[in-house]
Amino acid sequence: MILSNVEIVKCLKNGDFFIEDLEQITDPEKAPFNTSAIDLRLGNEIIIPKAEEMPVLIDLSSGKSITKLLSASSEKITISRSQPLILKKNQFILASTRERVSFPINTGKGKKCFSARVEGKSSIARCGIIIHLTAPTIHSNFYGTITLELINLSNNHFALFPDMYICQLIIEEVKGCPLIAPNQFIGQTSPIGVIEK
Amino acid sequence: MVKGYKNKGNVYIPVEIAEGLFSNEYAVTIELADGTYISLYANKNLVNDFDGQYFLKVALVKDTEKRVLLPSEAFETSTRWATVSNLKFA
Repeated sequence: MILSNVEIVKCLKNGDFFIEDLEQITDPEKAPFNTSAIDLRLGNEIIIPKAEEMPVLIDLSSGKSITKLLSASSEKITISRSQPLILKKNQFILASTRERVSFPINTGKGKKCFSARVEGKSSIARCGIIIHLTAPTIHSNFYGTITLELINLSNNHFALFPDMYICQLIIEEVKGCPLIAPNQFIGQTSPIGVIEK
Repeated sequence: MVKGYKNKGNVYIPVEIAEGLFSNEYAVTIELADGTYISLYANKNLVNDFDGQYFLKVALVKDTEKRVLLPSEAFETSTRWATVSNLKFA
């Protein structure tokens, strides 16, 4: 069941999950809330894959570290209000949300677990911009910023500014606990779901 | 029993790290129980340094088999489940 804006605020207050910078926002009838979603903002780091530095073939079963390969063949830039990234036609980049989110596995009796889906926003979609590629699910136990895979499918360039509302988060309750937790952990909240400040 | 085990409910697995794509993440390499290696990107807050060895915070799923739930999918296996040979309790 998708959570309404009102339920999202209740859950945030209850500590069922966490979305950074929303702790003090108690009015679900104002931005960044929609009726059944929360809008998230674009972070200021952009990762630009360098096609010329990537191997012709990416083989996930090669036994080589894919993460090191991707890191070594990508450029990281920081955008600002005065220096946005101009996303060119057909360009693919990685970005992330400004907000960290946390959906802990709550194993206590009566506790609920939640997961979420990151989706595009209609205003940006109509400009021809895809904000994620086939992997929208934020699973229970996720912690961190949400990585976005942006592609410009339009015939125009598109300016990306930090803190612009770039995507929306749809939150759903998970029926049952996703883990059969070892006995020692019953009643505990996985620390992976705890934001460490 | 290591202090903090029952209270915190987390475990750490030894990893090797390198810089990630984003500044808030590491590229993490993990050795599985069968001797193969997997890698993923993990938030830096999930990685701790104990005496010069880096450890990734994970959820313990089955302690008898040392099966853990990783914070994100590994590239090489496309799954978050992993069986490791070494654990460290927080």
